[in-house]
Amino acid sequence: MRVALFATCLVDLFAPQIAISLRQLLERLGVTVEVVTSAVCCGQPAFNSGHWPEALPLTTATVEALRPYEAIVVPSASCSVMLSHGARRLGLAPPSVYEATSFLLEVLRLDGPHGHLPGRGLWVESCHRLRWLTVPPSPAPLLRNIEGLLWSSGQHASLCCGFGGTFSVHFPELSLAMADARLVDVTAEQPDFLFGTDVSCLLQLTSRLQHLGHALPGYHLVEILDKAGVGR
Amino acid sequence: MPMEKAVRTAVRQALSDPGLGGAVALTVDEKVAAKARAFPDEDTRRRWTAEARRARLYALQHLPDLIEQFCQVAESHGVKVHVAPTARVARETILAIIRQHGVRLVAKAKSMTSEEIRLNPFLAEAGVEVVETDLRERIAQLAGEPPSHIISPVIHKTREAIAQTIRERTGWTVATDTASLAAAMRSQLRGVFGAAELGITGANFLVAESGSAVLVSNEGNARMVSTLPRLHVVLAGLEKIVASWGDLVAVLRVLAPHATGQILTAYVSAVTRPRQPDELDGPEELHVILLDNGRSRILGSAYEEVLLCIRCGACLNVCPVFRQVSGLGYLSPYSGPIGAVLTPLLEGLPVRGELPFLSSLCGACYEACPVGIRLHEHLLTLRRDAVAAGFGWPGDKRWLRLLRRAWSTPRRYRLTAQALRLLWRTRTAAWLPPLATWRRGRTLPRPALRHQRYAERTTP
Repeated sequence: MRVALFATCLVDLFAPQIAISLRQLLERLGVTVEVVTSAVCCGQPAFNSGHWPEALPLTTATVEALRPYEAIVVPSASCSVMLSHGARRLGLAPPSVYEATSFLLEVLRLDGPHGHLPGRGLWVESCHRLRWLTVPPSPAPLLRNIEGLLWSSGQHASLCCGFGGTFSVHFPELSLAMADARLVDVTAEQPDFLFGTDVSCLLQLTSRLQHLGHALPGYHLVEILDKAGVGR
Repeated sequence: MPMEKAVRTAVRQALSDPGLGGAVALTVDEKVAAKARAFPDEDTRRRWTAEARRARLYALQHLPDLIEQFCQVAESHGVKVHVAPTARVARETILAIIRQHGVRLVAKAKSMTSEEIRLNPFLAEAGVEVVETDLRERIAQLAGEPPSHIISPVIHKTREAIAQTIRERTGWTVATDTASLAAAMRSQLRGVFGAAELGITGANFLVAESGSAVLVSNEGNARMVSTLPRLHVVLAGLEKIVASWGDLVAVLRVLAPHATGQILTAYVSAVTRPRQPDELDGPEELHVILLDNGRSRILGSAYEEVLLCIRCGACLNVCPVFRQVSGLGYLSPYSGPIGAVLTPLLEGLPVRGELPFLSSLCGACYEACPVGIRLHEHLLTLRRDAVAAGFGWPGDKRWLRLLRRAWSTPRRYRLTAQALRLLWRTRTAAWLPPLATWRRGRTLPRPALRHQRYAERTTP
């Protein structure tokens, strides 16, 4: 199978190791990966702020760059939603985009892959994955056979982390208060790391934790699977 | 035209109240847990909410006919029906009834529609005494604060703060346990029911086929207000109509579970006609005011679905923003996600253009809504409309345009990314508009050293 990988701007700028992990993981699972370097940004910051005319050229360019590919894997639920739902609202035909977890579960039908990664993880659910993608699959089948990994969603799994893109700039104090409300679970669960499907949510929480003097790493789910040696 | 900054200020103020967040979280978490228990199972919940949506959709699709039917049937019962196109007309209609009968004391049951038309301040100005009779609404009234939740007006207050309000405003000594607080308020309200000459209530629903106004309550105060005073005025948004008693059951069945986690409220009262010659109680005169106030404008627009709302407050209870600021952050009687959509539509973007931005677009509201209003979608669309009308977020346009230009091609993006790394190393990046805000309270992540390293071949 051949797929295209669109890293997204946030991953490219702040967490390229996610794209490396995703690529390694897919290749180990027998998928031929082509990295799309001609796509830049899905246009979501402008789109979600109501500036659709500013979003349109960026979204159009990215959609067009991705269109030739049969399947595009994206390590972000948020950007996946923008490229499907958002593109449609801007009047563009969406390219065939798969959020990385959905791709592993629904296309590759990965179920209970074996691996080894000791540690306690707190699963940070992404609102875009949970509520904007249609029927998001549970990540549990991907993690079931990872030896040594203990993970939970915490008591406040359904609470948004407070990032919300430009929302965190419009209402900075509120965004921080929301992060702190979500981080109550960190105090309760004492995890070694946070993990999820969106680098935006993870950065919001880890950068807040670091400021509070309680730095914890944040990993994408594909990094966990890669580190655990899935497919090896 | 510059955008009002009132909401930003209100949000900051709410965040600075040390007791508020905890008080809100306590109540909303309880409501969410109770809601889950109020349905026999998930399948039933899905079936019932689908039926409620169908009943509400039917009403919206036949609204003009159903309003006409309601007016005809109600008038044939001797009810005086008034259609008020604006909040001002509604207020003046009520004042005219008050003046005509020389009313001095008005007893009110909780009504968000009366908050919408700012009725209490208006009547106070006119020298009419108005007493709220819902316990918690009365506490809000005593405190001189607007209700902070559609269903739970003092959700932002701790029990200690409530006791303090009662002590300060009435001079009574009260304990801080809920039973004592309720007993204190109750003893004060009993006299009001008997003395008031006019009762004002809202209506949870209006049933077209029988011309009835349906009130749900747990304290029974709505029943008192609608039977004891000589006159009764019902104030309701004209979208509150359902076609039939069958449809009423469909919506009632989801209202209480989503509002309070109950299967049904303690009281469901239907007010159909004034007192008949052979009856012992009930008002001599019954008025129903159907309020438009912008609703006809929403009907037939892209936001029409918003009129399906049954005011249960479920979207407030799950909203991570509401959890932090309560209704006080929204400066609007309708708060939470529904308020962030409805208020700008009713009052206009120039007044409340900030509200659609007061959301992280997490979508929990849509998930919780018993009638399936796509609130997250409407928030997004309303932001587009706000920007188009000149009420976008100040400053956004400048840096978003910059971003659009800088990232229009992969080459430009690579240059920007290089520049960003450079700025980072010299610590100048921290002064860029979005980052400068972001680093307050956060330790900014460092940008990656190399661009698109993952694109290089790792294995031969």
